Amino acid sequence: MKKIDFITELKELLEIEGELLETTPLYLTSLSTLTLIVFLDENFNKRVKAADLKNITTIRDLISLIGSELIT
Amino acid sequence: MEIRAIEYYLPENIVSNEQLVKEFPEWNLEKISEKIGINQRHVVANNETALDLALFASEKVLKSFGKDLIDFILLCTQSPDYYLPTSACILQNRLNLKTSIGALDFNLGCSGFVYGLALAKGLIQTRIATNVLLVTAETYSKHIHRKDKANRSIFGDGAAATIISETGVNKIFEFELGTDGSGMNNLIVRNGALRNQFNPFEKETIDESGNLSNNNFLYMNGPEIFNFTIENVPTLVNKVLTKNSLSLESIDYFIFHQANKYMLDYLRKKTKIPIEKFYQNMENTGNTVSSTIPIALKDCFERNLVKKGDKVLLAGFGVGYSWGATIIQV
Repeated sequence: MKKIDFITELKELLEIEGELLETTPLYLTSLSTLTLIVFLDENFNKRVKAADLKNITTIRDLISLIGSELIT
Repeated sequence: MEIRAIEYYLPENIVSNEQLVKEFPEWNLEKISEKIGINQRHVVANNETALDLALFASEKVLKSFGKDLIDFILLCTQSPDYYLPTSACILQNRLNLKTSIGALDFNLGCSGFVYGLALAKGLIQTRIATNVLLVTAETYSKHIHRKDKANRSIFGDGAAATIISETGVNKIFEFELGTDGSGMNNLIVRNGALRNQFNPFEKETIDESGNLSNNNFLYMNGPEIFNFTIENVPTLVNKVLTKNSLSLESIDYFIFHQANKYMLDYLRKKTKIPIEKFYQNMENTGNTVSSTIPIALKDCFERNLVKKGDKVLLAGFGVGYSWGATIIQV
């Protein structure tokens, strides 16, 4: 997936208002964690633990978790 | 053997989303109800228990079925009146059933109805019983902290009573069951039993979504439970189909445990079940734990969503972790 599409989709899914950059701080509620789990499973066939998502503070962290080779 | 009758009972008191919003003004009503697919849930009164709900549901189902014919009670609950005696024994007496019957409780949550069917089938096949009264009764509201809006919005109380009888034809097919106790900490009431007794001084915690709770009450790690279902439910469906030598296409209708809309939408998609064959209705009841499947089945009969001869796949999954599926012919 292209990085720009990834960020656009996340912005919509997580209902983030304003600009979303790789370094924008992310605040995940349990609902947005659920949304991310589904998004990652559906698009990357990637199963992530809720505890791992707790450590995510930016999009950049999320990309590292998924694997930067999958988001170009 | 087959399911002969199902009735259910929901407590009178209803808690609507609007009422919850009054208690939790920060709650986004539209967003939450769209995600979870629940508008209201029934909640027991303080002096009402799962056993009371079980009694009402059982009385309803026994109105059209001879009481004397029941020779076994299986009661699924995680909200017993007492550690002992067994709720099913008390139910036998309150229903005025004969004493020459078997009765036992089993402690399971959302997989409970499927397990109950499996136990009933075993009892009937081995000629231990002929007419089993399977009751699922739950009052999670008593386990949930009043300030825990997430769990209060999802769970509802209720009971269902199902009669499974030997009829000479087998309409309850093979089962696929699963257990993984490593998930115990993701859905748990830590205190109140014998490992950790109820602690009135237990410290309260607030999660990232602002839900307040403590170890005396129910804790659910929603995202991890979701992961568990993603991992296990599609496989469970495939395995039960294989065990019964049936294809996904040959199943007329699918009833999964009605956990919440968001989860069911994704599981349906992942399992590749056509939307028109997939039951979803928890708007007015919420997640009633072990009773969602029998309530759904009853609703399907009443609304003619299934017709005589249809093959229906039932799948339950949740606390434990515990999961199970079977296929019935209606």
